[in-house]
Amino acid sequence: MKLRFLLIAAVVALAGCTQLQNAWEAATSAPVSPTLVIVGGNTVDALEATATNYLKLPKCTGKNGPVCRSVAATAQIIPAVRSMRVARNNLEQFLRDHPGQLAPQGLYDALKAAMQTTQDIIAQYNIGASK
Amino acid sequence: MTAALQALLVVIAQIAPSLTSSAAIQAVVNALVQIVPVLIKEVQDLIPMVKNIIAALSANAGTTSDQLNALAALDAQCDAAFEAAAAAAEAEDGTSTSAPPTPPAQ
Repeated sequence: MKLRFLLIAAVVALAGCTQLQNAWEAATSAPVSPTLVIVGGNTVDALEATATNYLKLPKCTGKNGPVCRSVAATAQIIPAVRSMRVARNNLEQFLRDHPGQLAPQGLYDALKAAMQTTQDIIAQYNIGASK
Repeated sequence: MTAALQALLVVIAQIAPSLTSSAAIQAVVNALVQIVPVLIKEVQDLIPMVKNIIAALSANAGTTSDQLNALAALDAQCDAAFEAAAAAAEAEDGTSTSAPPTPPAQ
């Protein structure tokens, strides 16, 4: 229990950092258990919160930097987060429909891919450091 | 406010391993769900921490479907905060993207 909590805390603490993917991979090397679905869902929410904070920044005008919101980054992060949420929702829905069962690998792979896309955008535009 | 909330979260994290009954877990989850709207307004960065604790509690053997529903409710609140920020940013930028996905079922 303690180890699991520390793992979850580490994953969220790393939201917006390049190590997030490594932590996620370490957490999900085993089959996709219900607990890992929940960890994945929380990781998605952590990334979403990071993106939300970024979107609340003032728009970059060329004079108000460096803490501002890029129009290019905004155009990429919004659809990426929405796609990530779809993958999260699919996994959580499976857990509701099939209590205690292992989630299909395909749903899990979709979540991983969506998280990677979002993480790449966060890293590219340094979004996690813009709060 | 932020320091007080963080202190509360640390205490919950410390007692989490000792929560063995479903009723006790549900009570903590319910309390956390109630403070999330305050977090969204004042200390949004703490939302993931709260959600982590709920997830850790939900991994306990006493987990019930009600706790999964509570997680879905938190998902919806995070999604709503994001969509509000996205709509404002897109309005300022003069852009628009496709409609947001359907929120998770409760």
